[in-house]
Formats: sequence, C-alpha cells, structure tokens
Amino acid sequence: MTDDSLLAGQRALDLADAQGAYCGRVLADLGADVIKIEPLGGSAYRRDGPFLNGAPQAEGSLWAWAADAGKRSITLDVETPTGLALLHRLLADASYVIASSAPDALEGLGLDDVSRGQRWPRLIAVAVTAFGREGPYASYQGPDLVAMAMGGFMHSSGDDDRPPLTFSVPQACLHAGAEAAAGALFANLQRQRTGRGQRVDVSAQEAVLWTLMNTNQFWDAMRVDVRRGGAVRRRPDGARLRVHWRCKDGYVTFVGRGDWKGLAAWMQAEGFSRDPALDRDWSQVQPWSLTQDDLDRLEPLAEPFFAQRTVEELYQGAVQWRFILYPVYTVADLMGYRQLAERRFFVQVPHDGMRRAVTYPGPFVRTSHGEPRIRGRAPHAGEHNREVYQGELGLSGREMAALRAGGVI
Amino acid sequence: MSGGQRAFAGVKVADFSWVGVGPITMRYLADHGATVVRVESISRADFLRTSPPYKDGTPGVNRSAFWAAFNAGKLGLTLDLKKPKAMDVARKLIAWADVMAESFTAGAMERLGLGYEEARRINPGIIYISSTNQGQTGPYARQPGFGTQLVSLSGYTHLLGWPDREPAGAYGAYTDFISPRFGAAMVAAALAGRRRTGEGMCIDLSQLEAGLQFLAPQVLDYATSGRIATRAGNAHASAAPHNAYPCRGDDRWCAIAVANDAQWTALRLAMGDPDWSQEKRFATVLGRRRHAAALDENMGAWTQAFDAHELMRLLQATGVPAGVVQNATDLFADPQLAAQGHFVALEHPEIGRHHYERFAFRLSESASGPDAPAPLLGQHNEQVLRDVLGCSDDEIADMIIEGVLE
Repeated sequence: MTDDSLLAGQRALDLADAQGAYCGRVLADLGADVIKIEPLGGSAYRRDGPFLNGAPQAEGSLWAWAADAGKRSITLDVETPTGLALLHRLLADASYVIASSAPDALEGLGLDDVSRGQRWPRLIAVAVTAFGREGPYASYQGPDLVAMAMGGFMHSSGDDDRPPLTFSVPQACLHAGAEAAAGALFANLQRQRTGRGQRVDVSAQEAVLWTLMNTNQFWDAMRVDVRRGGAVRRRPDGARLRVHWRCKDGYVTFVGRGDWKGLAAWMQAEGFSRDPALDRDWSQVQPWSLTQDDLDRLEPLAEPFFAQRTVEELYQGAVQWRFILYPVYTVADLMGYRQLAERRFFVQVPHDGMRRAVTYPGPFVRTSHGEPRIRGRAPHAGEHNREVYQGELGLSGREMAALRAGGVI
Repeated sequence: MSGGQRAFAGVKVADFSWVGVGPITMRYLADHGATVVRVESISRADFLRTSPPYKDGTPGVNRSAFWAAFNAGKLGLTLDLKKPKAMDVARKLIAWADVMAESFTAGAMERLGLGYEEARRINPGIIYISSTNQGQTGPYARQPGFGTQLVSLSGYTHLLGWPDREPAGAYGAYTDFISPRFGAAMVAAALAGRRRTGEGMCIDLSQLEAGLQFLAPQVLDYATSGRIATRAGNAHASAAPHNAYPCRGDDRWCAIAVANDAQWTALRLAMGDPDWSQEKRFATVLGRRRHAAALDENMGAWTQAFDAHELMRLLQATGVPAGVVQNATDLFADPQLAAQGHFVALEHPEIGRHHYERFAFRLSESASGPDAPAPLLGQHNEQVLRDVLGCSDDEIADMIIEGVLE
C-alpha cells in the first residue's frame, strides 16, 4: 500500500465490450495492470459518443477514454486458434479475466472450466451480461435503454403524461461494471485465503434493481406500485409534492419534510410572507406527515420566493438557515463548484497530440493510504502490442510479423 | 454456487452508519459472510426506520420494509452514546472489528469521540469507512443532506426529463445506489491489502465524487468541447427508434432500442414491413433521428395493440433489442429474476414473511445471502454483549437498568 496501489502486481485481461468495460477501469484505478484485449479493428464501443470535438473519429470516443483510462491495449483475434492460444499464454500470469455481453462469453474463450479451477486455478473470471448467466432472458440483447426498462428504473421516472424515461446518458453498464469490480474484489479476498479463483457473474438488470430506492418494498409490503410524477412527485400515498423548483437562473431541489422550518424562517425574516401556514411547529412535522392540504398551501408561498432568487442565492441561504436545498447542477456547474475544487477532485490527464491536458473526474474514494487514481490516458487500439507480445511474452519480431500477416494481431 | 466458505468469512464489522449508503455497503459484507453489528440509537432512530413503506401501512420502528432492505443479516445493537458505559461498549466493539462504518455529517463522529484517530488508537489495523454527501473536507463538508437532494447537485436531475420541460429527475436518491458499489469494492481491496501489510486505512467516500464517476464521458465532453450534456427524453445520439412505446393496458410500455440498420431491417420485418417504414426518410439512422417524432408516432400506432411482454419476446426473437418497462408487479413475477434467485423471502418477526433483494453478482465458490431478516431495534443486544464482547450477565443487567442500551 506504500505506492498507492492496492492491486499492484495483479494483472487483468479485459475482453469486455461496453457492458463490462468499466469493471477493468476500477481495477486499473486501484493499481492493477489491465490489458484491454481488442478485436483487430478496436472495441466496438470506440464508435460510441460523445466524441472529441463532437465529430465521430478514430481514437476520439470520450466514452472509451473514460472507460479505458489507465489500461494498456493489445489487439488479438481470439476467434482464431492461434489467437486463442496466445490468450491462454497471457492467462498464465493473469489474476482476472473480464468478458461481457454473451452469457457464454467466458466459455467462448475456452474458460468453461474456471469454476472447477483445472487449468487456471487462481483465475477470477468475470462475466458481465445484461440479464445474467442463466434464465429465459439470458440471451436477450440488453443495451442501456432495455436494461433500465427491465430493471424497473424507467417505470417510476419521467412526467406522467408522457412515456417513462431514463437518463440521457448510459448508466446500466456503469452500474454493472462497478458491481463487477466489487464482485471481482470479493473473489480476490477469498482467493487470498483459499488460493483459488472463481467465476463472477454480473447481471445489469439486477444492478438496475438496486437503483429503485424503495419501489419494490412498496409493492412487497403494501401492494402499491409507485407511479412516476417528474418534478412534482407522486408520493406513494397519493399526495403530490414538488421537489424540483424553478428559480431565477435554473432549478433547485427542495424536498420539504422538516426543511420547511428553515425555509419558513428565512421567508419570514425577509418579510416575504406572513402567511400563518408558515407558523406551525415544524419540529412536530415528520417526514411524510405533510398532507396534500398542507402542500397546497405551502407550495404557492415558496414558488415566488424561489423564482425571484438565483440558484446560488438559494443554496447559500439554505446553508445559512440550516435546511436542505441543493442546486440542480450541470457538469459545467460541477467543474466550477468550490467544494470539488478545494478537494482537488478533478485531475488532469495528458494526451499526446493535445496542447493541454484533459480534465477527468478524480478518485472514487479518498483514503489515508493513497488514492485510486487514473494511471494515464486510454490506449490506442493495439498500442501495446510490441510491449506485451515481444517484451513480456517473448515473441520474436518474425513471429510478430507472421501473426500480423495472419490477421491474428 | 458451492456453500461453505464465503468471501468475507471471519470478517467483523461495526456498522455505526445510517440511512442509505453506509448500511447498503455493509450489507454487501453481511451477505458474503461477515458478522455485522449494526449500532443504533433508540432516541434518534435511523430516519429510514420511520419511513414508509410499513408492513400493511401501519407505522412502527420495526415495520419499515425500506429500512429492512438495507440491513438484512445484521445483528441489532442499541446504544445511548451519551452514556459513558455505552461509549465503553462502542470502544470494545471497535477493538473487536476489522471494519467500521459511519455516515453522519462530517465531524459528528469526532465530536462523539469515535473518529478515525480515536478508532485507530483503539485498533491500529481498523479499516474505517466514512460516507457523506460531499466528503470529510471542503467548504460544504458539513452541509447536511440526503441522496434525494444530492442527485441534483451531482448532475443527474438535469439529465432526466424532456428538453421542452423542467427536469423530471429520478424517482429516488439515485446516487445512494452508485456509492455502495465503490464502497464495497474499496473495503474488499483494503482488507486484502491489510492481510499483506497489517495496515488499515481511513476511507473518505464522498457520494458526490463517487456519483460523478458515472458521468465521466460528459465531464470529458465539457472539458474538451464545452458541450454541456442535458436532458433529451429517451433520445440517443446514434440510435433510432430509441424510446418507450405504448402497449395494451394502463401505463404499459415497451422500450425499443435500434442501434444499426440490421436491427432496423429486422424491426421492419417484425412489423410486416408497413408502407411508412419504407419511406426514404427512415432508411438511415441519421434520417430516423431527424424524423424521430414521426417515427415514434408510427411505431406507437403499431406497438399499442400488443401486450408489452409479448412484444418484447417477439422483437428479441428477431434480434431487435427490446424490454418491458417493468413495474414492481412485473419484477416480482419476472422469470429471469426468479432464475437468478434475485428475491429472497425471509420471515421477519414483525413484518412477517417478506422479500429481500440479492446484489447483482454471483460468485461460483461463495454462497451469498441474505440469510436472515433485518434486526428489530436492539434485537441482538444480549447476544452481541455476551457472545461478541464477552460481557457478563450482571454487567448486561446493569446496562439495561441504567438505560445504556437505548
């Protein structure tokens, strides 16, 4: 742990597509040597946006930049016998192998005996799929929209007069990838004791179920199916309450509950309203105890108060008057947010060919003993072929040329 | 899944955390074999214990299925930490533990005398994880908040909704469900590191910073091009059709995501190649994106005659990515989740037989829980004090009389 690298000395072979690519990124941030093994034309997600300067281009997928930062890359056609044999040679030194999408992705790599540990007894083999390894939907295609729908997220998100929604950016694959990293590290903890590896199977659908907060519990305990309500939430008991509020230059989130106490005090101190509805004993107001009648009286009082103030004025007021109200920020707002700046959250990663380093989100946690960190920019497809095949596997220049000519690397 | 050893077998956890992220993170450990003692206060009960849904709608500190979901398989201990004897118990628990978790506003544990420095003095090898909205340091570290609001600060609310309307945002405290994956991964890595080096560590989990990991491409986009990602309905930059389409019944929808021309051709065939689908404006992804409104209208006219699940099966069978917008009723009846063993029914003393959810990975050589329901408030006081901390029956009786366990 002296060199900030909890996983120093461990190697991961990363054959994952978009569904599982983020798993290797987490392992790389923790210090593992992660080698991306890509098909000859590069991973398919290198064609996913957003793109550098907005235009689709080779090596310009910012999705791939984020998913593959700190990894090395080699190209290898694992569907040829020679390619598969090379993969198996690389596996001799690997702690983890990560595959994704097809439920039999690992079997396709000749890794069907991993859980019996015959050939690579210490190997941890991770499969990240949309629906898991077995079951009637295991072979279904599950891109982000489908996983967010089937995982239950969309049903409760969006305005009630329009179709249900997911975010405008992919999320299910990132939940699945981070979950896969946790699973791989759980298996690593066990391997330390037993000396044996195992298989880790991850379902993106199940990962999405763990973003639903309490809607499954409402059904299970009360047979209530929560319905979507957008900025004006439809509470499971039927009440409607506004959670996102328009203000002078954007939106803020104020959920209410006991927080009306601080807001009411501020509104009264400014002489904004003398409405007796603001005078109640707020210490007696429990979460959920505001009725629809209460809300119908309070919300019209707060709406103009918010509308006449900026996001920052409201956020600072909430800090001063000790209640909870948060801004609805964009990524641009976040990159200027003082809390993140003072914690030096964003990091600069150099990219060759670019005049300035590029700003990335920093560590996912801080620790007293070093931090997970980006080891460098994402590799170009096959950037490390020579380094890995010649330098580490000991192939000769002639063998390399033959593999290249044979379309294997 | 072979039984026997679990990944966290023998690992001991003192869980002082509350609400979402901390308890969920520690449940990962409990599910995989750790002994987790959840420390609570009766006078200041966990906010989720008094949040619905309650069994049959009847409130009670032991009846919230919301609280139960995040605390299955833990041992329940109540302590009134304002009492010196309770602090003695807390210190014993820290001495016993490999991992300690807390999630109060930054500075609260230090004021209580249970911060990392104090914990490390008691137990030099402790792995101490603090989870907060915005981290332990910085100008807003002490601003309280929950995931319900943090989801907006962290950029997510802005990304969910229609471009012509105010943001809709996620129903829940979305970032609360990103952080635990990183927290669980980090604790497992730290424990493995400690076995090699003997050193513990303090982990500062900022839910804002963990949440931003999933917006990395959008951060890069802004950093390189100045483009600010925003809400866009269900539109996708390079796929169409890409939306939820109406199906038969009340509020029933099927999501369809066509990423390339081969899938578009398959969809056309599935629809019986209607005239509108042969229009030139729909021939390319670019055209379908540009004419998305007309495309969605035509699609919806076709999909609305179908049962949502029937439509999904039909389209998936022909190679078109499709999935039902499942509600909770669907999820509990989902044959795929059943095959994965996602929901586990357990008998809770007050809630009765109800369902817990397993996490999203399965280990081939380590069984996973939950094996036991969430504890009642203080349910395992005597068991923890006697069997875990070695207190005598007399000591325990004194503590009960003196109100230490409240």
